[in-house]
Amino acid sequence: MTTRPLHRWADTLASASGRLAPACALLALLVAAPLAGSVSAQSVRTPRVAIAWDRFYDYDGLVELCERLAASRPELCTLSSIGASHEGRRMPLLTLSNPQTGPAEGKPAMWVDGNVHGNEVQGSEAALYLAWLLLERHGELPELTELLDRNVFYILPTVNPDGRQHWFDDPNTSSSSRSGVAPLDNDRDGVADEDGPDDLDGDGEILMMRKRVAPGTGSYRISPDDARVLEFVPADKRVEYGADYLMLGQEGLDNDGDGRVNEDGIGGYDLNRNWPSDWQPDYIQFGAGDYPFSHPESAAIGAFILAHPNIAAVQSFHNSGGMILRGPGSRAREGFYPDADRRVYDAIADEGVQIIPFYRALVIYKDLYDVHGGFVNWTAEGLGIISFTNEMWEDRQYFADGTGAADGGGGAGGGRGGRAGRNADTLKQLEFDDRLMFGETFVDWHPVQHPLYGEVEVGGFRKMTRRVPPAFMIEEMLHRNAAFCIYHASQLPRLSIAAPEVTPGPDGTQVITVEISNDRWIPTRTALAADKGIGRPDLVTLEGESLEVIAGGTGADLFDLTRFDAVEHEPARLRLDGGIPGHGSVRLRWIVRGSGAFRVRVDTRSAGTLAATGTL
Amino acid sequence: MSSRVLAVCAALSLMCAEIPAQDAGTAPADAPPAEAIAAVSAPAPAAPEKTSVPAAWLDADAVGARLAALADAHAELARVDTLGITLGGRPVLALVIGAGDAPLRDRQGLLFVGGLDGRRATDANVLLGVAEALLADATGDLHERLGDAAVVIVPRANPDGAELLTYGAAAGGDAVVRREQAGNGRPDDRDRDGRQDEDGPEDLDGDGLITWMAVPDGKGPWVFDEHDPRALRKARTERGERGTHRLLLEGRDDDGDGDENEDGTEGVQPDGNFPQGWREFAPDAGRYPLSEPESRALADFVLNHPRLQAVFVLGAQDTLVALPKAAGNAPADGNFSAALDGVHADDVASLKELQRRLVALGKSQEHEHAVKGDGLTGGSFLAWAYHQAGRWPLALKTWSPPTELPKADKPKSEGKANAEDMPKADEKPKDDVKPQADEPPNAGEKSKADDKPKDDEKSKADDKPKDDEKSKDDDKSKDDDKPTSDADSPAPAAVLAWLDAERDGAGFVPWHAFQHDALGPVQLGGLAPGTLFAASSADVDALSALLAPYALTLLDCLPRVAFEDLKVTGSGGVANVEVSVVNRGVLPTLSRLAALARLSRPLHVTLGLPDGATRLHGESHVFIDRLDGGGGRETLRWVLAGAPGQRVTLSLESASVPATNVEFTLP
Repeated sequence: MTTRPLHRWADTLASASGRLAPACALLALLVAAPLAGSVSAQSVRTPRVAIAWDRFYDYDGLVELCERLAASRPELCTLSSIGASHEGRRMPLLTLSNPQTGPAEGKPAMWVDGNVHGNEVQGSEAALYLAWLLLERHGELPELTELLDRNVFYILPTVNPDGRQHWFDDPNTSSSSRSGVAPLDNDRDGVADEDGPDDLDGDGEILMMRKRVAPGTGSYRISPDDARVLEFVPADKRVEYGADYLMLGQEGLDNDGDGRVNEDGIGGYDLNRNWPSDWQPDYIQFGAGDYPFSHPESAAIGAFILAHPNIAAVQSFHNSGGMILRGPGSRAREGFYPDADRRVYDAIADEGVQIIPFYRALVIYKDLYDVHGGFVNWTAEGLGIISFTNEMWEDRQYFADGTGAADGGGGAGGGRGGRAGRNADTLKQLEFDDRLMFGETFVDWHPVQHPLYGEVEVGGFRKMTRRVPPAFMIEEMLHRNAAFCIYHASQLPRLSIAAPEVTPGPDGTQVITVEISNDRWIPTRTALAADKGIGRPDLVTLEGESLEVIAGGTGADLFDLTRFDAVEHEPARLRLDGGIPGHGSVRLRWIVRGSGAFRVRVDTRSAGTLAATGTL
Repeated sequence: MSSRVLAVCAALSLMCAEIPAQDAGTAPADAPPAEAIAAVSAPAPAAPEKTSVPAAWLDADAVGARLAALADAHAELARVDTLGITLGGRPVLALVIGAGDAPLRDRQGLLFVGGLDGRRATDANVLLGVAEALLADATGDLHERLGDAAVVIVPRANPDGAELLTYGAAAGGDAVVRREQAGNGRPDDRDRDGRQDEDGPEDLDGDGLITWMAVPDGKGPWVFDEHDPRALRKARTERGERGTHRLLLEGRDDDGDGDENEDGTEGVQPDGNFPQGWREFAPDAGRYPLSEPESRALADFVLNHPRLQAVFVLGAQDTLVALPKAAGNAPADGNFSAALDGVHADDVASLKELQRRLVALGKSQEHEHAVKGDGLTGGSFLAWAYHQAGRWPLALKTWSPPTELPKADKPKSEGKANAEDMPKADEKPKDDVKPQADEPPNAGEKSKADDKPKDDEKSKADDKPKDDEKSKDDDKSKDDDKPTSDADSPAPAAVLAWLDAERDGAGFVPWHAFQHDALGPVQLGGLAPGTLFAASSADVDALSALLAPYALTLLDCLPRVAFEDLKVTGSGGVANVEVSVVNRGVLPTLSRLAALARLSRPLHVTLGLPDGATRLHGESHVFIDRLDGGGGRETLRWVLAGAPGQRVTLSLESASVPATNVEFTLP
């Protein structure tokens, strides 16, 4: 791979516009602080908050980390609760903002969350790692200092604290406890959650059940390559191969006596299908919930995001498959990604696949599956915010050689094709388990008495594998994904306004021309927001004590003072529905009479306000 | 406003004590309590036999008072529940009619809803009349036929919107101004200029009403009709005629942006705020489905009461005069990739039967008081109730003044008899009646969603009743000696003629000159707020008189499921058991869509075996997705073994019908 300057987006503070002057002053103070002495020796740097990034934390662990982070930099970080989960767990939110460079609501903001699916745990650590990295290095690394001085981060480590805690506390697989824990009658028998999997052998894991039968009467046989692996045998080969095993699914009983096993476990819905854009009821989109925002977790987040129109970037962390996903979630919504917005998505995702090896930049409905009512579909399509979902961890990372291990456990990436491919994946993962994990992630098959099936064998991969990396690989995953967030955040709109030009106009009038520029990829208003009329347009006002504004408008010609698109009404208060484009500018012009000082004020929802003054 | 809200709450809590029972109980259905009468300021009636007296407009206090009076007078049978609180602090009230102590959640029944659209204020009168008629008969037919079931009536689901018409909004000092408003008044920024509700209409002439302004403008599309100078019609540009006026709601350009009245208090229309076919980005649809207290309260109430199997909506929609369109994309296997584009054909057939029973009750009447309306429109409560809550979608549109001139060969009064799609009572419904609907649930979603916010003038005109708007040929063959009636005019000749004939002209504010501070000389006038939505008291009474017995008919039609034909044979403790689960109701246990889409639970039969007994054949839990009405059955069999004389129980439960069970002993 050729070396690319990943930090080329980060301007030096010296070239930052004048309005960042307070930030420069602050940085100077911090550089003088004793802690900064370790900057040059990164390898021996003592962290402000020492966190072990080689593990996953349960809910209480996450809360404790949030508290430590907030306490470590109270001048930059506040901890609040965005709401409570179904079981009453508070949902901690970290707000990272430097009040010395302006109030949070006046700055561009990025929303980061993780763990909407309870079992997809590493999203929480990724969100926390981002917070930790920013707080840890603010004042040390100019790029991160500038980023946090200029922008706000709303970081919600866990969208689904109940599902997370249940995944940690109770026997589970790598894929179970995806749902929240509000009771749902999945088998529609009038009783909710009465027949989930059961930990028959009491080892704290939900594994697989297999049963040995007479040779030729089964559909599987022991793999000649590895006795731990069952190999599917096609019907015409069963006698010949002496197929002597049946697969009986996940460890469990028919708890409710209806003849079915494990058909109504805890919860059984999908918090990531409960959002308003393209929402469809459960019979079209499994897991949708009664209606958008019908769950307390989604309702709390929805209310917060609707109340913070400065959010102009969204990142949601999931597992697994190594993907940087954007919408739409269904073909019918293609029109919600106009060309101008797609260029922004592509610019950010293209950096992402460099920052995170083995990850691919994909579109949800084309490359994964249809999603109606997903979270990023709402933020992107309903609110017009540039939004990504990362599916963290990829099989090819096991040996970092481009070949994969198992993804047959339900990982979103889809494994190699077919049964043979899945067997190869499983063998590869067992090799990893043997050579690098020393047997930790696989439970050998062992006999268990089952009330319905008689003697069965239970075994398989533990929950803390397949969809999450092994401990020694966690930190790299977190750092790379946080770095992708940082790149995304660095592309939040950054505006500047040139000093207004004043030139004499006809008949004793004067012509004021200003240019407002944005040197980042994300516009103050996406093309979708303008197209659908989402939110308030940007406003530019011209004020002066003795000022008569005769005409005003956009599209000011560089050379011909008379050429611009004059508005019919309110020329002193121009509305820019298209906002300030990414890596672009708008030129405004007014024809005025009067004298003395005037002020041009730019008021955006996503990038705060700025102003320039001049004199007639 | 807050003092009035307090008054509503106070009235609710005090009505029981303050209204003498005999007053409330003996009042005829069309005589509201004194408070209601005080709040009414509809035009005064003239000679009763000649004029169609508009029904009294009841403000929120009056609706609450009448409900409280009913609950007070019939405490054994009725109570008033609050489903939610509006942004204006008003309760969304429901009258719950049901005998005995069973919780409402366990009862089968019906839900009547009116007034989702704030302008349709007289629909509350109809539903209050239904409640009063039902309870007036409380010792007779109702009591017998109600049984354990319930009838829930929400006469006004959008009280904030209606209040602007029925009471008005404070306009400084003692002045109160009335206007039409479909929505709930949630503050918003319709013109997206960063200011909320800063440019609504104003009562310029101080007559207490928001009417219309005809502004002289050679570029405007309107002209005053030469045959009826009160009426406005579109200029016939195809004849070279040019318009002389443009029309605006009465008011000013308060924010100086060049548009008059483009950002008022309209807010969100609750009946567009439901998740089925929700028009994302439409300015009156809400920021997300069920974002509004009115819609959320109704949805939660319905979801929490799965046995209220039919909803009956009085509003702009209709499924009983014109049956809804049958879906063309219903999957046979329940594997849905998209919403149905209509009502499932099997469910249209059930609606047709319910339509037949409504017609039968109408006897010789031709349902002049109900007209063809829209189908299950996107974002509506009705569409949601069918497509997502699995309830029978019943709806009627109350008759209101015609917007088209009567045909030449018919007398004027027949302008109202336009229920042509509904079979006559004495006429056997044709078997091949094609289901019809003005639009499928999702129709128009795209075009509407893409619309920019409309100014009030346009949206108001668009929302006018379109019941008679069908024959474009009429426009082409206009007689030059007659006025022309444009359905979207604020002064359509047809309405004016009808108001002359039936209401002595009341409901029209004569055009009068006004010097507008910005627009110069204008004419103020046109139809008074609410005129196009105000049913006459005679129609209100007739519809109440029809719907009260229809409510009992619907109760009779609900599915009734029981075990029948139990056969237990065998000996020595070994039994062959056969039993049928039978639906003796008219309606199936679930709509076809509800069963296919798993919107409710199936019938669930559980075999309860005593200790020591075993199953030799058959399941301990049997699920039956759906039983047809009229004796639809499923026969179940078991072979059981145990000790002779041991008792076995078969129990049936489901979300949609009451539980039942049967017991037998092993032979």
